Amino acid sequence: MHCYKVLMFAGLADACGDSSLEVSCSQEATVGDLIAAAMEQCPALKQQVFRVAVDSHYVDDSCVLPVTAEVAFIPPVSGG
Amino acid sequence: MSIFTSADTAQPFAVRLSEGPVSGDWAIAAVAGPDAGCSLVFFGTVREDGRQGAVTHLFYEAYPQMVASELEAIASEILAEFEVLRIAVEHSVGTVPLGKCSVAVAIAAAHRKQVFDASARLMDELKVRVPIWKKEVYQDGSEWLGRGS
Repeated sequence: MHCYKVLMFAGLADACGDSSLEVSCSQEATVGDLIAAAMEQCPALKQQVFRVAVDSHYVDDSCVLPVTAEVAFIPPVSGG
Repeated sequence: MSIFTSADTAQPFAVRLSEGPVSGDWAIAAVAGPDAGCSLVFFGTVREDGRQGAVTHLFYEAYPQMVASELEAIASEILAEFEVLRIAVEHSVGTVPLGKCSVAVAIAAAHRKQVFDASARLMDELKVRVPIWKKEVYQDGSEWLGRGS
């Protein structure tokens, strides 16, 4: 198992009550695996819309997580 | 106070995140050069009319390293598609009062023809891809806004 620190922002962080979450997954887990584990740990995530970024790039659920990955859950953006 | 500034303003793209309102001066200077025949600056300012009523101010949050990489990707696309020379973006984090500027986009080009479309494209992409979030703050509450607000 490997523990990933997941960064969260804005309304997503408010909904989960924290700006980060530590989620344990097997090594070579996919982003989809990580999301499922994170939702078990923080059920409020199930009501939220977000994309996932790994090392500052948007990825899809099939992306295999590097052990050193910086993972972020990105709620709908609203810059400008 | 600058939160994040890309390394070299002589590059075709530069970005800066700053605490509080931005002036645009840094972005304008970053795109200036003897090869430019024009520069266009877009300012986004804080509007009173909010989703749930009168806004007292906006609060911005950002994921700085991804703001830099995503804006750089957008700028690369624009530099490849449009005949422009340099692009610089300043964006606020933290509190920005009514009427003040939260984003400034400066684009320099040899000729004016494509600089308007390039600026519009950059703002369109920024609003759907770049991890920055705004919260409207009212007298009696607040709300984070979602995509494209």
